[in-house]
Amino acid sequence: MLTTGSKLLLGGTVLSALTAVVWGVTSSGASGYVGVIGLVSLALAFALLFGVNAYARDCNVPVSAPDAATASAAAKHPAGPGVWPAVAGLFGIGGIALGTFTKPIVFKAGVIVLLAALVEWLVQAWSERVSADAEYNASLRKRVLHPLEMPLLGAIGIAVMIYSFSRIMLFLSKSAGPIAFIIVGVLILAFATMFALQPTVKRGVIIGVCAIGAIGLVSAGAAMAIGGQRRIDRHPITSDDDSAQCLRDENDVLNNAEYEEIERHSSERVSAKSSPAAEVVLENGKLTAHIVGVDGPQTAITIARSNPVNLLFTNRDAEKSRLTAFAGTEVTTVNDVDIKTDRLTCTTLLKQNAQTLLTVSFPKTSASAAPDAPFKLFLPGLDGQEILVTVP
Amino acid sequence: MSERSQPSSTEETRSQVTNPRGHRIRRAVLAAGSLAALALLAGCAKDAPQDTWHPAGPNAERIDNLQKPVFLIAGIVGVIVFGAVGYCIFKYRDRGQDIPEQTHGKPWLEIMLTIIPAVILLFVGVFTVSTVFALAKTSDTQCIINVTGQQWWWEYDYPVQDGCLPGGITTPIVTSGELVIPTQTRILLHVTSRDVIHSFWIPKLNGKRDAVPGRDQTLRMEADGPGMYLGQCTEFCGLSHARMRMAAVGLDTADFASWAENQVATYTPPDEGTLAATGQSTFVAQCSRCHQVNGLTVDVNGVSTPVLSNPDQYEVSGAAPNLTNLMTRTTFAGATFDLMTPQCLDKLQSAPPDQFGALYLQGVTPDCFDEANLRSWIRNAPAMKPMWASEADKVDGKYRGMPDLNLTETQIDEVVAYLQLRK
Repeated sequence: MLTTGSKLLLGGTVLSALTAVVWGVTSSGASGYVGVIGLVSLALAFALLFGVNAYARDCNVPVSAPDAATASAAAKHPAGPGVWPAVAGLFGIGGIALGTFTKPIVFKAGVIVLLAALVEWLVQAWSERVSADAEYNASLRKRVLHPLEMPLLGAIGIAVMIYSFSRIMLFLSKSAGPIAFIIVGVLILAFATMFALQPTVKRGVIIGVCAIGAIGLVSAGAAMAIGGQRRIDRHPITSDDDSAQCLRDENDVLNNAEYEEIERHSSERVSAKSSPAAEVVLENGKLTAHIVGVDGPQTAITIARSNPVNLLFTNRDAEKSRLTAFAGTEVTTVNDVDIKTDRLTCTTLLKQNAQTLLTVSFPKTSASAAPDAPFKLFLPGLDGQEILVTVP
Repeated sequence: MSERSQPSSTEETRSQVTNPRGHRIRRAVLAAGSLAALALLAGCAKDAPQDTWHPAGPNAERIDNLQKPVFLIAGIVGVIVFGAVGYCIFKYRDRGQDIPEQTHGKPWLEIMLTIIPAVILLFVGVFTVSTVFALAKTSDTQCIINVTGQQWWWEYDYPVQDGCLPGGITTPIVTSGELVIPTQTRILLHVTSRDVIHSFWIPKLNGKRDAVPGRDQTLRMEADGPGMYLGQCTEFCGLSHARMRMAAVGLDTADFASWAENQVATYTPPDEGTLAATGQSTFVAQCSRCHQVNGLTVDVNGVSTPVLSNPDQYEVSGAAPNLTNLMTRTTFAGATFDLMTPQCLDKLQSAPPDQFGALYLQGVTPDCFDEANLRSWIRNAPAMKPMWASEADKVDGKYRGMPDLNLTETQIDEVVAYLQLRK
């Protein structure tokens, strides 16, 4: 019977000989001769090694002890053909193929599955030939692979649970989410209490309950992932183009103003939105301010001097609008020429039912404002709607 | 059973005669008692204006009504726990005896030890949540005041509104140091900050509220009767945090109306040829860059032009106290230094409620004016209150607080004379 090493070397011999034939037929000139000579030499070398190896039985059994040949590890049959490497390999290759045309994450997952299968296969193949004792071989395999398998599988298991849970919570509405959370919590507490009150509980029962819970969680997560998540409104994002102008009407004198942009980091403004100095609302073409503690909508507000305050602007009308604050005119002298610049701050152009913050500071008292140009909040393009600002 | 040898009859006799253990116990009890008495006495003070245990308004009353039962319950629980622990330590101390029988699990005891704390916490929780909601209510507001903190003083402005007074406030008022409020009126403070986080706290009127830049936070405030209620910034806010004080002054409705009317009264310039008139010029030249006096004008090419301060160009906070009615206040510089002599201030603070308003509305009279404090401040403010206000400490070319202006003694006399008329 040919040993494993002998088979490899015999394969090398046959392959080299066949290649030499193919090379000799298809090549010509000096390279053809050199190639044929080299390949024939390789085939001869393989053949020699095959002979020696077959005689020495892969050097696992001394020639002086031929009886041991039947008991050597090399002489033993493998533990048995397994289909899992093929299945895992198929999944890996399938993932790679699918990922090539769909998403990079699928491609990466395929590569990882393929590499994992390869490592598992290699270690298993090695461990099955370590000795003639199958039990010892199996224990050796566990010793090598379990430190890798256990944390990895644990992490994957936890990740699947968390992902499933997150899909469920994102699928449920804001009001249903806490109720579901409470129900699940109560169920866990109830089962835990039942188990705690029992003097002894069969292991199978606990495993069964946990398995049912896990399957339920993963199944529900998968179903709700397919169903998609509930609608979650995005915070308004500022674009540079949008920030280029505080005013839209082309004949306004404020065109040369230096514009400031706000809401650049809108996601960081969540807490500020909970306590603005006032909420400014555009509804049915009317601009009003709402202040905590003051009854009804206002058309005038007071803001402390040099105090950067946050105003929450809500547009309930269909037309897009931009809240703009006018904080007076600044005069700078360049080459003995006075240049007037309006202090303007504005929001992004806001669509219907959107909200954004306007962070604004009034450095001067409103007593410094010209009588015909009071400090105010207004909407460019919407005449007659403004909120006067008093700065004491 | 212990194998320790029993004391001989001779030893017993000696122990009974000298009784050293009894002496030790007595000494320990004496020491513990002395410490407890010391701790108790440390809580006593004749004059404790920032005492949380004597509320002077319904909001502080609510907190007081909550904290006293909670303290009582916590005290009883504490005594029981410490007593039980002490008893066990003493009773079962190591005397060489055998280790007692070890037991595990007493369901009824464990259930009781879970239920009792849960019931206590539930009881405390219900009243706490109810108090928190009551203190957060804003819908019953009768008067709104904006409170703005900065290093290291508080500014108060009263926006135009229908509330505060029967006729409302028709012209905005801005002041600092003293928050003047109408009594028996539900005030809502809008608290914020220009620079760092501060915390507004008048213990006799309500709990604390942080003043956070960019956030507008509300705090209810109501005083039962006229009087002066002191407070202190309670969030460390930098170098002079300890000198960032505050006071709420409660006036009955009529007195508050008088005060409000005076705050927006037409500016009266000093008489020509007086020291105060020269002081006005010095003030315009030296002080008005940062400090506003409403109604102050100067003649520019024959045209009377308002003098408007520009603290945003000189101060990091972009603001400085409005000095229009300085002498209607009892303190200055973050309510840290008195404008009144100690005798007058004591008389005002200890005045009966029915006389307090009239006394407060007098403001700082010439015989009550503590000139030395104000003079020292104008001479060299940073020497009195650390503020990183020197030339070297400027931030972007701006001061943090009032710098030393290097005024001459004559100029100081003039400015003091001018400010003394700001009532």
